[in-house]
Amino acid sequence: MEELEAIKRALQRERKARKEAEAIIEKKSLEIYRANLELKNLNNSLEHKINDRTSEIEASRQQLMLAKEVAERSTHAKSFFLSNMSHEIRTPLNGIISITDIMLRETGEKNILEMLNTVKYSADHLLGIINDILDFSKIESGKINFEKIQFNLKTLLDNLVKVMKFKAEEKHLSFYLEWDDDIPDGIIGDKVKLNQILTNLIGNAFKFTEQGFVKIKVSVLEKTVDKNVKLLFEIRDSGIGIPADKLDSVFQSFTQSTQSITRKFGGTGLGLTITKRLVELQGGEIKLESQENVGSNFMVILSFDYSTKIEKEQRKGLGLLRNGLIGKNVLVVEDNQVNQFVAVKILKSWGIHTRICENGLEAIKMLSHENFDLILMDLHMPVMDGYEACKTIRKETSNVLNHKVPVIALSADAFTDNKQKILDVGMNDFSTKPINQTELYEKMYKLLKS
Amino acid sequence: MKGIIFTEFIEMVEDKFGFEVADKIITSSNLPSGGAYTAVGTYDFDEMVQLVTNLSTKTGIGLSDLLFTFGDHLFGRFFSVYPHFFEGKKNTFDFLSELEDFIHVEVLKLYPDAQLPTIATEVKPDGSSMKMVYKSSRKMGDLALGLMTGCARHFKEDITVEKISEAEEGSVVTFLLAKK
Repeated sequence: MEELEAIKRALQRERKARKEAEAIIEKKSLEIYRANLELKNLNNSLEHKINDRTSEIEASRQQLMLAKEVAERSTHAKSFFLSNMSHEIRTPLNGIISITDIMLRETGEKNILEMLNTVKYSADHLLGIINDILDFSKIESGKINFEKIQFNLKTLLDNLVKVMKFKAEEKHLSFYLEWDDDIPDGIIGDKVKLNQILTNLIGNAFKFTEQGFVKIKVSVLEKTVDKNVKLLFEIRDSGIGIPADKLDSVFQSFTQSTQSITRKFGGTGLGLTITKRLVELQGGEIKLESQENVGSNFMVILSFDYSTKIEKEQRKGLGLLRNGLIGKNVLVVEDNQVNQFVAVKILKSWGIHTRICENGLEAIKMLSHENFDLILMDLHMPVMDGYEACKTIRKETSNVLNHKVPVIALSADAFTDNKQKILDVGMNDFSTKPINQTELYEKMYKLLKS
Repeated sequence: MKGIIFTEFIEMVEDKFGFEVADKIITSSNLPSGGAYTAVGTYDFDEMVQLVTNLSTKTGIGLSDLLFTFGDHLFGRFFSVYPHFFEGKKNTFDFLSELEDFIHVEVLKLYPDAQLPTIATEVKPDGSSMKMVYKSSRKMGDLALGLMTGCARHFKEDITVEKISEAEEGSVVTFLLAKK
């Protein structure tokens, strides 16, 4: 009996406990439901926020795209202006220099010669300054290309020494090159820009040194198995040096170390800035050590790829026949009258028969009914420029009689007209303006003898 | 104190001592819950004190022994009801070292009002023994001892568990578990 009562009570307790458990379950279920609802709401609000953010980002992006387009157009406009200015400024100056050159060759009178030399010196100097300013503007607007062509560094340096030797002799300075035999023969890079860099630094060294020496030292810092070499170029002088507190600012645009330097030595103050940019744009470094009244050491570190397969460099002494171009027919395509005059004069002096066209379109018309041995083509002309004209000449479907006629481009601007672009349109070679007679003769001879 | 302790206790009493004894200890106690316990509920710790004391009186078995026996039995029940707490635990020392930081933390997530003892453990570097300090205002050191013994038995390890010191009237108890 007792046990039955005990069991009854136990059962009642179980019932009660069960009901309590059920109440707890109900409560927990409601909590879960509410929590889920809140989660859903939060999720929705998050989605909205994401959508809003995305719209904002998209709107920003559109704005940025527009701003970019505006900036690009502005840059294009500036570049075009720059190219134009470059052409406009250089053309008359080249005229002055070329004609002066011709006069120097033709005149015998001593005092005329003296005056012509002065004109030439001034014109060259002016050209130098203009080139500096134009180069600087180009660098600032990012319009620089660096070529990757194989060249012989030793030859470049030897030539540099040859060209600058007279400056050393003028000032009775000792000038020499120290060379590391470990330097590979076939360096690949932009030889023109390297020349420019070294010429600027050596020029400065001479400018600021009155006694003692200027030395060029080239050494190998690193050579890697994947054909890359890091070179150190040092241009040391025993000149006036640069005060310690001015070491940084010499590389900044428009500054020279002191006002008195500017007055005494002249110059635009752009040379070092351009040099520094040219070095840095190629991934190199430029450093300076200097002590007042002791001397300076400008150090340039540049890396180059190199190749052990050396392409045969054309020897200067080709066995050139002075009269190797007599009787040839050459078409000169050039819009500027002074340049036309200069070109024709030079070609005639070599015994060449010349014809002139003012632009690419005229040239095409002429080439459709006349044959020539070679064409000298200016690159920048109205109506149709040199690039377009050459493309048309090479096109098999055009009316030009001889699609394979040799074409030499005449370029006033080595910075903008790069060799690759010229070769791409089918030109055979290019020569600079103002016309370098030896270079042009060689190039024409090379193309015509084959 | 969580309901599961109560429900397991009553069931153990019903099974070991019979329905009448279970009924007696409930009716002779002053229980606000009326002795109706659900495992998911929470009840006054004082009810447990009364129940255990009354059981001791009724059966003549000492309080410490009763709590020890209950603890040993309870461990096995914990394994049945909460198997997820045992996942990945390979031996006694592993299980006990993680008791405070994992198991008690999980319990508090679901039952924020749960009152749990704090268990601080330190295993000897060579793994031959472990020290455990049990702290609780409920002073259930004997229950803890029983649980640890049940634990060693569950993992089939030969480990002796002994109380090595007591402080603050049993609120702080230090145990040593040693592998034989």
